[in-house]
Amino acid sequence: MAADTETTQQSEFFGPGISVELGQVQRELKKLWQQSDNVATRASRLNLVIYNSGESSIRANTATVERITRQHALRAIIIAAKPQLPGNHVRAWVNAHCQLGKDGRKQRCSEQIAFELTGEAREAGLTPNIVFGHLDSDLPLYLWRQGEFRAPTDQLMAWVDRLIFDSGDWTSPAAQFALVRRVSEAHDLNESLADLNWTRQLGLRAAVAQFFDAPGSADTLAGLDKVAITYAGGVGGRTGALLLAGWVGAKLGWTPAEAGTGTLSFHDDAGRTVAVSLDGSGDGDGAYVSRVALHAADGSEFTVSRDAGSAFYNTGARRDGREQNQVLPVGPQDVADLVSAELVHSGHHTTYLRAVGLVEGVM
Amino acid sequence: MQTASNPLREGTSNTRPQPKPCALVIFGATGDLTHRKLVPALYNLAADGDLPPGTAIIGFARRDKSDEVFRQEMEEATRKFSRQPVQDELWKSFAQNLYYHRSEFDKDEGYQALAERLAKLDRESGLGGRRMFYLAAGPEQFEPIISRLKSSGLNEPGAEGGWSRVVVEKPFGTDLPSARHLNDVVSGAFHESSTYRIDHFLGKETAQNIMVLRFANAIFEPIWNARYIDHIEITAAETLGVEGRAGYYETSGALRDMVQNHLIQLLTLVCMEPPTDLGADGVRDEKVKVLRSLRPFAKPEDVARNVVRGQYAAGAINGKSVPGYREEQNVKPGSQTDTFVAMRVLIDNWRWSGVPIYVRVGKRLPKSAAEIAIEFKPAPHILFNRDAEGGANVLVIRIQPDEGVSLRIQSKLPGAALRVEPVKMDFQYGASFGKASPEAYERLLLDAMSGDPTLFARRDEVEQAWQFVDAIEQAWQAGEGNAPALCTYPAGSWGPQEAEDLIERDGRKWRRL
Repeated sequence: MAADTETTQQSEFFGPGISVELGQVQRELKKLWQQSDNVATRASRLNLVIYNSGESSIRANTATVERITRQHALRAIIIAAKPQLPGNHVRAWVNAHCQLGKDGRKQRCSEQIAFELTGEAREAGLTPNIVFGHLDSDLPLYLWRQGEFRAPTDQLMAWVDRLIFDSGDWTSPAAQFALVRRVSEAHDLNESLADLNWTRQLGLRAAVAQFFDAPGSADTLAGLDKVAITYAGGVGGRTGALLLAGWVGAKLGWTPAEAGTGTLSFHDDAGRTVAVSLDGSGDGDGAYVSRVALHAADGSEFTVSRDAGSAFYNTGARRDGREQNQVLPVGPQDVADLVSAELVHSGHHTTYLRAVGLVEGVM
Repeated sequence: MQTASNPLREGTSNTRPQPKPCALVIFGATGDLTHRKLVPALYNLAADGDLPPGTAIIGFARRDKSDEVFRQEMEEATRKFSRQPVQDELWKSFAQNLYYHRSEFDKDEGYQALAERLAKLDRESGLGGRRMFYLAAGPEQFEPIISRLKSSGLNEPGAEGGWSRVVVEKPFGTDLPSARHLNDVVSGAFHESSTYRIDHFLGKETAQNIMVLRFANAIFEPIWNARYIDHIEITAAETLGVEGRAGYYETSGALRDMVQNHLIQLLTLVCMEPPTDLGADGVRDEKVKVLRSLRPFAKPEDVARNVVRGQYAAGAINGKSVPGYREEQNVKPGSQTDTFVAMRVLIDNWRWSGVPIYVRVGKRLPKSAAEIAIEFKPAPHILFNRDAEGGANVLVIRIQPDEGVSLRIQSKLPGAALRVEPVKMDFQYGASFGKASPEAYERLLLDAMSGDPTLFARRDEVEQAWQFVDAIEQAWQAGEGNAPALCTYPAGSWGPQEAEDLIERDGRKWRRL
């Protein structure tokens, strides 16, 4: 969300910017600043490289970057690799995303450099060189790999401080998770992985966790025997549902038992079986968990549900004959908000890979 | 933290561990602070997902009204003062945990009824006997409230594993004896670890950033001492006058309203030694050492030489005429209340020996700004344009507005001649971090719920600060003819000429803000 004291100046309807020759990017950026008559502040605290080899356009990513820069001053480098386009060339554009300051005049601007690689140029291993040649020095490098991973570029990965991706976009999650695991182990990125499908569930995990803040909840939590998760969005939604199941299991020390059609089983640390059912009948666009219900051996029941498009979860707890309901924020869901949340997250996702490990076998 | 027993909690917040839900009782629920700051801050915490779900907020005040009317008033206030727009669905959920409790502050029955109400909330909402009492009422009510919290047993946790805490707003006393007395009253009911003396300056992002700037950047600490620093200026200026607070201000003045708490807290953060850890006592121990090292003003002559007090006369602010302080409503015609203070302070320890710290605070000054400026000694051998002024490096920490840090350095002017001019490197929070900072009260309320008193003043801090300030106040209250003069300054100026003289005697000038 933009700071409420600021207004946004849109950059020419999210076009890629001013077309420049590849070797002239820095010079053209400098020109941009000179044209601002000193009313703009150049601000940057990280490099965000967005790599896309699918359908997502520079125009769409420019719109996303514009939204991200409302919260984060950064240098964005967008790389669109388009092997399907004819020719064998690299094109470049420079752009600036500016927000008006409190005085309505002074701007703070983030830079964007966009590259389009077509035909054989895409395969020529140009990406690391393009990235290295245009980084803002001494600032961390966050790589946002959109779509599915292909053979990763190790040369680039060695420089990456945080790897952002969205497992909700994957059509073959098992293979993709294996690839991510290999990359992260090779480059010591295990705790610097940022899966937007995991970030999407920040509010959901908080909504589930709050049920067990009450005194005496430890026994209830240890006695969970059934978890039912409803999701929307096909494979991506199922991956999200599995991540949620993996999160509960990883936190409570469960181990995988067996998997059946639509059902998973775990053993808790006392050896009891916990059944997790997955139901893909959730409503709405996009991949998300629309309902989760937890049942404990003492008869307690806890539900978190969200209507399609709603900004809130409805939570309900039924225990000891009492029922309590709350409305809680869903947290970031839009892709720009998800990436923004990751950019502000200075810690690491310590549970993520453990959660993936618990459910990887049934992806 | 409070969340250790719930394994699902770990990592559910992007920013910090979340406390457990509690009952928050606000004394003075119909007052300005509750309307403008506290309830909007609590709503913003809920909107960000940081308020523990189920947290009950109970407004305690004397006026007769129902829960429903209280909720409506709080909704209006929150819509007006919240930094985030109010969302109807969330407000509805938030408001269901808002309650109103009518009682006199000094009637036992009201507290017994409160105890019953809290016990019922514990049973129904699983609050676990966790209670926080926020004293937002007038300071004259603090003692009756605390003594009745004790006599009704509310100072004790409501259940095993629960806790009972008290948050005390400023002013925490009016001088050292009254602060000691209030501390005795509070400590008779609440353990020091359960007492949170709030100073909202410490909840501001930039105030918290002082420690990060000093101790997370290796380049500063080696030069943060008398060998390299010439002097320090701490300024808190505001364009506002007393704005309807004359009744309170007449009994306090700028020294007690601002210097004793906010400015001295900033001074301690700038001047303290690195703490051994970031635990509450680690930080506060170091702050207290600074307070103990402040050179006291032993005699009235010391006060006269080092402290200037002023009062604004009629003048203009932003091009509009404004009345003088004595013409303000509810101000006595011959009032001697200080609306401006400038002082020269020394810290007697190895790090700061001989480094003057100039503090100035005032109402009806030309602009509103709070900042700390560290002026370094000039380069030992001037090679370039020897007659140039302003050659020293200055590090400025801006507390408000435009929170940020700037550093003035020398740079060569382009051209064949070797001329050097100062340039400013400027870091602005708003430019690097677009996300709006939370209000100070949001952070502080959450800290108190979490049991983290780091950003709250400890008993000895408060008493040391009063001891320092009392010497000045006593000199001012000395018999006629002996007291240092109360100087006047036109509203819209930077204070009385005597304040300029104070710093110019040392061969220095106040910074231009």
